[in-house]
Amino acid sequence: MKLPKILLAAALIVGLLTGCATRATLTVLGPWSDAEEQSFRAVFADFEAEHDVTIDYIGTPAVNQVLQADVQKGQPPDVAVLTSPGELARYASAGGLRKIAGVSESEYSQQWRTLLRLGTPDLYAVPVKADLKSIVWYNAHHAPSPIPSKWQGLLDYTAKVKTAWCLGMEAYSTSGWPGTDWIEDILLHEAGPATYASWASGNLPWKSDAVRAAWTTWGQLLAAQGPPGLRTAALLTYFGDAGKQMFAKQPGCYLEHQGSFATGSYPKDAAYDFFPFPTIGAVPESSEVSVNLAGQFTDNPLAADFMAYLAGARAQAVWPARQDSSAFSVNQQVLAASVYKGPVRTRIAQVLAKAQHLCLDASDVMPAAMADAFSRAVLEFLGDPNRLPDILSGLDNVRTGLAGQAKLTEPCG
Amino acid sequence: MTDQVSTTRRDLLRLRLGLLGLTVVVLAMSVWSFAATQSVLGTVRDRTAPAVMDVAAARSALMQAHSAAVGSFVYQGATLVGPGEEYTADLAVAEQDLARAAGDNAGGSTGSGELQLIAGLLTTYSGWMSQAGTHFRDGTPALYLTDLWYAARSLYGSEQTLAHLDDLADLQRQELDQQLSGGWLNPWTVLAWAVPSAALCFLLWFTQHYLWRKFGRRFNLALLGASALLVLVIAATASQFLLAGRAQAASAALTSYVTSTNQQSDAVSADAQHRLILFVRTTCNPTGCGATLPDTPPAEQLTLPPTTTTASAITAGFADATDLSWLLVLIPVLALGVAGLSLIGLQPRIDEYRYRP
Repeated sequence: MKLPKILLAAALIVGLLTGCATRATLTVLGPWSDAEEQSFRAVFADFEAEHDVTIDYIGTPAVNQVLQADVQKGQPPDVAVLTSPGELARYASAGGLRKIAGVSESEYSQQWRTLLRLGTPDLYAVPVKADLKSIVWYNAHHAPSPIPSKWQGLLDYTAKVKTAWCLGMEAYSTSGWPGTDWIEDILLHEAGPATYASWASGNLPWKSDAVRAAWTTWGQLLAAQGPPGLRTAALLTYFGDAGKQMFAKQPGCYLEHQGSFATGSYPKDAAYDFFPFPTIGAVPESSEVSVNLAGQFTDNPLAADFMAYLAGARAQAVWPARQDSSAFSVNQQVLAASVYKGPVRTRIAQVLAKAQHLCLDASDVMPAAMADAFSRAVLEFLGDPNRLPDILSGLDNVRTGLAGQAKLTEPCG
Repeated sequence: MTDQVSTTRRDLLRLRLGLLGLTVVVLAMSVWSFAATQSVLGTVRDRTAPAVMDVAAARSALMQAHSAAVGSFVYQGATLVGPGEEYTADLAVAEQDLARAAGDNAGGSTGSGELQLIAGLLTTYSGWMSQAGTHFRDGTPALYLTDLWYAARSLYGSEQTLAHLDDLADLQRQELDQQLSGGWLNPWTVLAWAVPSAALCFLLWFTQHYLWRKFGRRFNLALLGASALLVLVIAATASQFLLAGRAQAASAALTSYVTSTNQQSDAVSADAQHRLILFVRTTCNPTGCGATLPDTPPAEQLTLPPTTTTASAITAGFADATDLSWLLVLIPVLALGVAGLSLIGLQPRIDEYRYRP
């Protein structure tokens, strides 16, 4: 009588121990730490519970470098979330990415379905969250009147109101990128998505008329902004500090060209609103976006399940619905589910999920060396706009040196 | 009578078995405990404590490098030498310190990640400094001031180099504290060898008492000798408390050293930031300094805090905590002596009963 009991107890203990030991693990690499990491962990918490799996999430700002080192060692994570779709496209073209199945494509607009294919016939990426870039923020208590809908209107406002623009180019190792967003938006709204796509994918030279015009157009706005000292101020200002001046008792500036994430750095009680970046030429209305894309790097079946879970409306709604979240999903069902609080967030989400023309942030599409040179070029241009010919020549030299690298060929959808 | 005789022989055999068995347990637990303590203290001496000092030294060298570079631009030496030779040398020292900290890394995968991140941030820092030198020689003040400011921001900004150096130092420190208070250095682990030692002590006394009662001999010299050797085994094993105490003292000295080193580097840093912010402010006009550059620079710290101890004294302190490793040989020898003398003490009595029915 005793022996069967002992055997049963032993079997239970062994079962428990082996059960614990064999709980599956999925490694996920991403760019988020601290509060953002907590938000991302909330996104995958249900998946862990439902699949009895532990997700080993590693968050690092140097996500591209860490991924590259892991891939070179032959030990990639199961899933990696990157901020640069161009980098992901290079892994896809090198055969390092797995095709994704089981994603309900009807939840995403045709534009996003194109972008998520990374220039290939197959689906390779799932968006985790996205930001709309082609917008101009203002303090709702100091709204421009009328709201500029054309470039000339923006120039007139800039010349009339001192100081019109909140400009901050400092961003630690990536200083200059807020200026690259200006050039990208101007090019997109002046020359159109086709020219933008050609330039972003490295086919159109920097010295081409369209690209040169984008720089000079920005130069006109900077000249209208005020004396050269304001360019120095922009160089010395951290991008996260620039927009806060709109909400001071005596506003230091009135407009900020910044992505939808900017509200995260505004005061909690700030009343803000935005208007779309105005069109400049006779081109279709289009928007620049940035997106964090997840890619699957191993054949782990759980990784495939995880990608399908990440793409679904339930996971997509978690981050945007969190308290004080400035995150957006491009999943149309999330938009329909009224997850977003307030009209401002809803309008941004509508553009992200349903816009007719969307283009990825060109800096996120270019090879890292090109994007870095682009950011440095912005700093040089602000230091001395008269050096533009030399700056564009330098950028073309970098582009020529990177001609052999695989590129994302369809940055617009 | 026959029953009594066989009971005595059986008792003697049981006592012999008990004494030998407990001696083996005491030997195993004492050697295990002492060796494990030595191993932990060796790791602390060779890896963890040096890693803590390396990170503090890297921070200090980095602040010296930054101060030298700022001085080179403020006093216009940059015309010829850019950020300057002192900057280059100090930055190289900081990088070597971090390379050593990576070799000694006690912070696990998190520590390795921090070290990788810091290496990347230092590359960013030196890149901005180098760019500042180039722009200075080109005569574009707006840009070299910007580069200099960006270099400083990559040191002092939120989640930048200094913040990660401090995170790394905290990780290394936590690991050191864990090593000096957990595992075999946890005071409760003394029970692992003290309980069997006490049991063996008791059994030796009991055996002595049994022999007195049964055979009328008050003292068995061999068992007395075994008891004396057991006391030596206990003393030798307990010396790990002395060693742990030395390690704790060295750890306290290390804390003091790191604190004073950081205070000194903070003073150098405050001085450099003071000069840099004044320099940038005097060059950018009142409308051109932006929203991030502080209106008033941090106060200069004209006198450096005194150093309380030296790195070599701390290294010597941790070395002292492992200088009794020869006891690892002595403990088994003494335990074997306990076993041998126990056998010698009991065997003649057992032999007396060998042929009795």
